[in-house]
Amino acid sequence: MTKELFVACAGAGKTTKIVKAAIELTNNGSKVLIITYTQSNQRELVDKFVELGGLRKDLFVVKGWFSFILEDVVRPYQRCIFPNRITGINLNSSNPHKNGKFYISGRAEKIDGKYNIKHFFDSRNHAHTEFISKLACNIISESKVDIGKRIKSIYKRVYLDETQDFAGWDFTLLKKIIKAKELEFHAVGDFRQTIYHTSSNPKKPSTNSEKLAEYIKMGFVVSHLSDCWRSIDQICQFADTVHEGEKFAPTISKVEPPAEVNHTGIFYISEENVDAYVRLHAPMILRHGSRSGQYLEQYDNLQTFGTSKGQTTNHVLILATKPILKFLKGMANPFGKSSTATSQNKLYVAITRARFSVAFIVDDRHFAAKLWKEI
Amino acid sequence: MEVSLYIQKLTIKNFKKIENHSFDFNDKVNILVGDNDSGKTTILEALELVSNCSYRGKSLGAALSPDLFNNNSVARFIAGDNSAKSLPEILIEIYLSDCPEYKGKNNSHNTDLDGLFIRICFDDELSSTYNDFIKSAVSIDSIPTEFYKIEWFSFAWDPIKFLNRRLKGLLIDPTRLHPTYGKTQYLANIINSSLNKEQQALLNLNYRQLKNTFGQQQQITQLNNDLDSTNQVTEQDLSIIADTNSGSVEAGLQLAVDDISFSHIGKGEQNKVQIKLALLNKGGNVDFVMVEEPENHLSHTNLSELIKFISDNNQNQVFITTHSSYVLNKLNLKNLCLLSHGYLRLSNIDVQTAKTLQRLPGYDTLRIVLSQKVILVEGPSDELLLKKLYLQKNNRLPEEDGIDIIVVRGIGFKHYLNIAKHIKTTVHVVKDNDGSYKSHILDYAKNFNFGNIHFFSEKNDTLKSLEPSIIEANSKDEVSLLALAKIALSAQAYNILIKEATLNDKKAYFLSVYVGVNGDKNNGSKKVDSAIKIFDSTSKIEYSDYLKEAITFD
Repeated sequence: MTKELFVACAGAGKTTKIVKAAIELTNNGSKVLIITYTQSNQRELVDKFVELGGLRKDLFVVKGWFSFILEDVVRPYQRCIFPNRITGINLNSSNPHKNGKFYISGRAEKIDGKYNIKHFFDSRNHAHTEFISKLACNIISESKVDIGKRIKSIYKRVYLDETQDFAGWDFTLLKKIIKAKELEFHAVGDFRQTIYHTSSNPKKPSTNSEKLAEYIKMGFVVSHLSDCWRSIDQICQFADTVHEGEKFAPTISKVEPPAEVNHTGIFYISEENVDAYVRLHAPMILRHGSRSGQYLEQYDNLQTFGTSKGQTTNHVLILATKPILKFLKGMANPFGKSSTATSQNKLYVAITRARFSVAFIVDDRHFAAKLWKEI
Repeated sequence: MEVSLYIQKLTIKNFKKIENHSFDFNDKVNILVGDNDSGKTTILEALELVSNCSYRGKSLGAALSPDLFNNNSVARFIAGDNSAKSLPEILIEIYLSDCPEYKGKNNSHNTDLDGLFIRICFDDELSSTYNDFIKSAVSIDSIPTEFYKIEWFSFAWDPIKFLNRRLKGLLIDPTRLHPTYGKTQYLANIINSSLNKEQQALLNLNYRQLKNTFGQQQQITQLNNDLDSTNQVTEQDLSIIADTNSGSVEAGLQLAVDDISFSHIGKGEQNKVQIKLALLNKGGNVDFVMVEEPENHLSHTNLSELIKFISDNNQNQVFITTHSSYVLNKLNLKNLCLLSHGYLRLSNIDVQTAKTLQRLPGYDTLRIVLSQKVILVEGPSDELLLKKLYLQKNNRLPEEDGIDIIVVRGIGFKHYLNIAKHIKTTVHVVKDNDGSYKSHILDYAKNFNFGNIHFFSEKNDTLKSLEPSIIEANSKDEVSLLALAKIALSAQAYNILIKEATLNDKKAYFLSVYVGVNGDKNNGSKKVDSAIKIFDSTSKIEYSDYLKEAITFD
């Protein structure tokens, strides 16, 4: 069993689990690669490695997904398509070949049957991250190389952290890599926390269920990490309702609120009470985007759902968006039909930051009876 | 420790003596043999360059000069249009046995292999500056290396980082030991190969502390107090201190043997100590060692001891250049890497031959390996007569035409031929028929049926060896026989010979001269005496046909 997928709930302690296993492997002289998407995650992994007593830093390799593709897949074999050394990556936030709504001409993938440099690279010869996994797949096919064999001969085990953020061409590339039977490949992630993708316009698979099905089809053995070491039971159960009906295992809280914490559970706050609430509980305040809820900017610790990812706090205060209100009121299909379920996932991320309490700012008569009051 | 990482192959383009060539290597010992100027040193320098990015101990950036370029490539550039495109580039690649991090297709074979390369090439960013330069330059007579850049990458096209590089080589070069040059570098090498990282840190720390305590010595304090006690020189405090900032540890340390500073012990001892430290590789910081001509500065006994040490301590790959057959034989002929016309390894040489020559390292195997044309003979008389015949015919000695006559002596033809069959040297074997041309020559030759090996012998079975054959060749009448006898025999023997009645009687006596007192056929000293006399004589004699054929090379 060399291919495993761990579906984790928020607060499952993925990083600790990965680093502990990596320390054991590196102490035995095996090289371990951990691929993760965000830079903050890369730092956290390295810090954790030192914190937990890892000694063989030379065998503990942490790379970003794009660096991994560039260094271990693209560059070694790129000559079959592009003769000049690719010097780096260009981190795209959107399709680099579009100017507003218009496509820039001369940027097609192939021109006259030949790969187009301008499709894959910018003027400094840096690869567009938007197309880098596609580039990698093309290079693997053109150079007829067994990429899995190369990875396997360097690393004993590869961890793919934040698996949920991968989509489309990433999967095609993944399939080519895991062809190496003996390569130990562990994917770890939480599909409920998918809020960005490695590519802005992913091809399939893109939804949670599509991705999960794809992993199973590729031969991954799925197990769930459902023990939560962060949030109390009430929050875990509440968070689970965000993705009700999608086959996620129920989260089991492993923490009890300490005696000195007397504010626990789920709360609804009216706008006029926000000031009092913030003064009393000093929550992390979360809003959908940087333009929503301008009046909140007077408070410290204000973040968007997206930037809060990976953080932990005692109490959160969430500015409810329209879909969130619908969800809180128990209406059917509150998040609409988004292929990537981003707004649903963002809510899950926001809720699961909290150890002890989650409060929503609601401006709706529905909650009149439930509103929090300063005692 | 099992060798896993070693250099399988080296390719060189436009570097010094080598224009374009590739070299396969053995996993442990490689003995590089070739004539002067054949490129042995260039190979070692190329290995150092690509593994350490340094040239003779200096970093390549500082050592980059037009001298590094192959002459032919320079000549072509100068004769050409001098455009940026025509600038020659140096490319050196190393293919490794087991280094998956360095795996990729960015090599000249475009094959998925482990390895790294160094490329010294025109820096495209300087294109416009270069174009201005050639427009204004009056004439260009060397490579403008100012416009060059150095690329040091693995086959995965990842840059090699000096400190984390997977392959570290150490070039031991006695000329670097000059007391005024390179002591620091050389000592750094020794420290690097002999001490592990912790030990190196301890050395550094203690050295710095020692320097600090210098200033605290009572006499030094006193001396400093007196230095400018009245503050005439400066208002501030003037003192002499040990310099703790400038220079590395190596700059302030020295190695000593029996308390004598290293630069003052004999060159031979320096060489030996350096080679041994590198081979022991206690620090584990060296993956392969290169040694230039270990026979230099060493007595025979010391060399023998050093060679034994090398063959006993070769966990790491070793490259040795040598001009000594002794070194070659002792380290086993199967490790030979020959640079003459082309490149050849002798890894599949006959095991018995290699073993025999390891036990009898005095035989001059380098001669058969390095010569283009060789005549193998049984004894010194054959050598003398062949030389005389060649001189008589061509007015030159055979060695002047690159023909080497080798007396096989005790070990016989077999081992020489076992070497010769692998290499391109043309070998003429001149052998006695010992009474049967068929069994001793024709049948024997079947064992060495190779295009470059030819046998020459007397076809007449009754003429068993050289002397009877020569006597026969000069027996067409009494006059010619006497002419030979006059030259070859002592006056005493000649006087007996002329008294013999018939031509046949005279021949019989002539032959008997070479039979020893106890009836043994080979009265060696008599034979050599005759041969020397023939060689020294100004008169010409007749030679057997097979001898005439043996000295003729196509």
